[in-house]
Amino acid sequence: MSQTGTTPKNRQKDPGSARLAAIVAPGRPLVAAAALAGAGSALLWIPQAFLLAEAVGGLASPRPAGPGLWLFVLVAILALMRAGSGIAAARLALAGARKVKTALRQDLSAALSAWSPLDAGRPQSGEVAAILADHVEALEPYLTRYEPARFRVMTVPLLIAATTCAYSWAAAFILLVAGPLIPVFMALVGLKARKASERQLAEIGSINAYLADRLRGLADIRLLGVVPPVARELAGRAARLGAATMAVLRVAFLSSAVLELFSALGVALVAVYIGFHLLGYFGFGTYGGRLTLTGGLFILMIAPDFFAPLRDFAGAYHDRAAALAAADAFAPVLEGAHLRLAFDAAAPASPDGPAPAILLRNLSFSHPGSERPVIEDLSLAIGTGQHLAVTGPSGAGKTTLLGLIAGLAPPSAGMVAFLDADGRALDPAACRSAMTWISQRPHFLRTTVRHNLTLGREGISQLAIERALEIAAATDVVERLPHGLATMLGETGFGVSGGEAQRLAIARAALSGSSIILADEPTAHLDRETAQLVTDGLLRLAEGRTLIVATHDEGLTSRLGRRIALHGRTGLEAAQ
Amino acid sequence: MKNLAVILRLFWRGDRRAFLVGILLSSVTILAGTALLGLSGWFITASAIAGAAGAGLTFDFFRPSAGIRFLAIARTAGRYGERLTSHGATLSFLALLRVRIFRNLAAADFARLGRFRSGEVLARLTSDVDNLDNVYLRLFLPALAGAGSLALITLGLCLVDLRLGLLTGGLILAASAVIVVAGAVLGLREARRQALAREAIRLRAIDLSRGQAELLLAGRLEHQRQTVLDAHERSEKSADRIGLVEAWQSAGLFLAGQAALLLVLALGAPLVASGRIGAAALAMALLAAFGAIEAVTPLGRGALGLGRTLLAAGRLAPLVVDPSPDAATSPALDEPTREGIPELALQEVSFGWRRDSPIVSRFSLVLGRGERLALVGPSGSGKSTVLALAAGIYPPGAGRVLFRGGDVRRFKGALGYLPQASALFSGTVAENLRLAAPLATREELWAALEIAGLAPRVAELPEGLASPLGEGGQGFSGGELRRLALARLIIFSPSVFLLDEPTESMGEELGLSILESLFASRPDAAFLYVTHREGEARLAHRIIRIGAGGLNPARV
Repeated sequence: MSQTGTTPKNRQKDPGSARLAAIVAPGRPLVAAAALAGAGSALLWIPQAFLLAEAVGGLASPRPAGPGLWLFVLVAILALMRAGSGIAAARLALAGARKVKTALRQDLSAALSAWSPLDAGRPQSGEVAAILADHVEALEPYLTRYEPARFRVMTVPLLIAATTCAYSWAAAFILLVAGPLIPVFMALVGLKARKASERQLAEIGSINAYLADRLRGLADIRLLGVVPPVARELAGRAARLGAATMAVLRVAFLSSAVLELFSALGVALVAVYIGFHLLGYFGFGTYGGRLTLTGGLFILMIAPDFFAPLRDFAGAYHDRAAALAAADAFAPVLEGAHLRLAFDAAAPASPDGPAPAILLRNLSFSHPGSERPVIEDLSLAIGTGQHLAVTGPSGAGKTTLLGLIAGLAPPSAGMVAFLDADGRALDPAACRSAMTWISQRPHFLRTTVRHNLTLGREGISQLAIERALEIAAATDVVERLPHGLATMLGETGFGVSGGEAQRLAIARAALSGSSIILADEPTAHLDRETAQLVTDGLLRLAEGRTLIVATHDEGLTSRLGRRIALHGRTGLEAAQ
Repeated sequence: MKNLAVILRLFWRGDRRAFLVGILLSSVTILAGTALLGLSGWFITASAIAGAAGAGLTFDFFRPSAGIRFLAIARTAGRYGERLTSHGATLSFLALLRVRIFRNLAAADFARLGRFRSGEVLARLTSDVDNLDNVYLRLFLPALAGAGSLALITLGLCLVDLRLGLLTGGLILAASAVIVVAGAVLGLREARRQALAREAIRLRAIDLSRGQAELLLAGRLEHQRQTVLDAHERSEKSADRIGLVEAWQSAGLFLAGQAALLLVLALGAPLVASGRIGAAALAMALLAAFGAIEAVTPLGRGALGLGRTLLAAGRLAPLVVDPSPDAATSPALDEPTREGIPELALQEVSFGWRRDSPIVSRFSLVLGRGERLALVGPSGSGKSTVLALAAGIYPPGAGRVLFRGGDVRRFKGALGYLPQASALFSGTVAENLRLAAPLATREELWAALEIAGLAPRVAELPEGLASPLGEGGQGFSGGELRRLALARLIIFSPSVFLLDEPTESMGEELGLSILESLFASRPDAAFLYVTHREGEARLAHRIIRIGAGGLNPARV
């Protein structure tokens, strides 16, 4: 535990903390209010304790006087105030956390949407999901538990010590010695142990990875008839992990045992001191005269609350580490300078009429941070309705060229222009609406087949869908699905892959009505027969439209009107 | 609640000792803490009275003050012990839970198993399991230890005064039970909504990322981003409602404790005034009640996330029951080959996901010992489905699939099936291969790799057979993984090989040579394989051609 780590001076020096502070800034006022309410609720115990001690003191005096109704009423009112501020604290903190999470998800999703897919540094989809869904959640316990606990630990013990001191400096002395010793001893005992225990607890995650890996291949395990041995291996692994973890925890828990020991001993020593003082053995510790019973009981009753904030803070300590780790995960997305899409996602309507002609002039592109250009000084004109194959070895820049035409990234030099039938330049952003993209491995959203085909566009008739499926020769694909067009696709739904997926992707492109079709290696990973089917569909789709295909499938290339080979970055034409 | 009972039973089956000792030590800790406060209160009050009466020097301070210090240490030791045993119990539970889940899922039908190829399904399962790991520490332990200690504290209060004890203890117990249960019930529905919304965020984020290019050009990228934010809104709304329930829950428990304090004072004051009990006893009772509140406060905190835990328990409970014994019982070797009975027979088999659109319709096939049969046809004509039916993966809608005359699903190890997507696991090459036969010798492993054409590749790896694969077989190319799966099947040495495009991701020459060496190495086995390469089909004794519109088997 390091209370030293939370002083303002240290926070400035640490970029991680600065980053976290910036992220939680929108919720700061609400969380601060929550912290105040929480501390207030804790401090209101002080007058309550006094009243209760007063009641007992009155009863114990030579002429016993029972507590009057006013005392009960006052204690009850204070209890209601404490409950009220407790609820207020919880609601305010949650509201603050909500503000922070909303701002984060908005900023993160905007940055991720605008991150060019041509940038090799762009996080994979699994990481994106983890960032947006899980890491953002780590901010909540930090704001709702850690920050209020930190405020409480900085204010409440001091006030209690001061109150105690007003009655007995000796009792206050006991508290003020026991208290600060806790972090010191916890650090001495716990620092190395805590690092080891954090590492070990991370190991526990590995058993989940092992289980997930085996579950993924459960069908194979079944088919090989080896379920019992694999189950035994899993059990053995988990048992070994458990034993190793226990060995580490045995030492790690000693540091929290220190916390418990000093807290309990602190209360015990206060009680013993007061008792002896009241018996007359210890004359010291007050400011002339003896403590009354009321005073003594009062000090005893508030003593545990000197240590409770320390216990709460130690319990919430990990929340800050988790939040810092999350902030680190966000840094490359929010702060990194990375390749962005050439234009904003909000696209103006596409120009009417036939496909615009595409003009590439002195086009160059290199990946950020890389010296070697992927495409260098390429000039090319693609007329309306042309079918062009872009060939070349892997990594020669075929996908990049398509991406530059689609505006997925701005070129490093040169330009991509679009011209209408009269040779006038068109708005490139608008022309992007006239394009459609077919990937190597088409992605289907977690929604129905129909929704995947229309991509949520309104006003598309059943007839149009059927016609699109015909063009793509994908009618039989849909027929074989359990619920036809209403079948859910995507990761957790029905899987379509290979040729079936490509044909659905072609149907999707047909429905888009786009006049320029960009296809990135559509027949890679397909066997020859299926590749034939897909090629037929693609060519039917591209009748009267511009088609640009990146491919190394000779069968496909030979059926397109024109080809360009990318070797060593500059394009070389080959007449067809 | 029934689901929690299932989980509880699992704990009982696991480390029973740690489960009980943890509860015992937790109770000891709570009681020691309560007694510490109570005794301190008594001590101070009694000392004050004695001191005021001038009888301070004759007061026996020794035992109470020793008792106070002893209780402080007992509390610390109890807490340390409790943390150790409760974490130990959790770790044992962690192992048992995962093995149970694995075994129960392994017994599910194959159609269900396919879902686990999805990263998202696995992510959800993992998160449910993690939530359940905490069920002991945050639910059972505080609840049972709290209830136990509370009972004992009530008993102690009854020794001061019966009515005071019963009413105070009863108040705290009743209030806690009602508040916790009410909170759980109210929170469960919202917890379910929140979990679903969180999943939606994940899945929509994946769509946003993987489908970026398609969505961008279709003008739907911003819409997709908005769906992520909509799911976020739903998640936050649920979280807000859960937070409200929990805030009121904490407040309720708090006020119940405060009411208990006032009750002790209200009932005790007249007792002191009338001389029935001493003021010191009242102080002790008051502070003991204070300690009793400490017993239930953790439950207020542990109830946070109770909804999430109940949801996880609900989803996992069916996977946690005692696993049923393996369905396939007779080893294939027990069933001898008989003259005239084919190794594999499909009789009038039909199958389809939907009744009106069958994929396979009244298909028949026989395969004898040592025979090789190739299934050829265009994509989507049902060849893979035939193979899957032969392997017993899907139950046929009509017709029978027989191995040596008996239903194929009864036999283990009879058929070796190589589907289009085989799974390999994290572990070494040898471990992956030995999955098929744990006692296979190194020679046998190398022989299988040789036939599959992988021997040179594995030999040049720095650690050879001991080289590690990553999760899902990372580190090898697609074609290499395919051959590794084939090698594994060779080691499995079934009587019938069912191969679905075994040479996909391999060049023509390589594929042909591997198939030739495979057939040569197992002359007695029967082979049924799908291929679209003429050269490979010609290696078979018979070819069955399947037409595009359905199954029209014809001999060649």
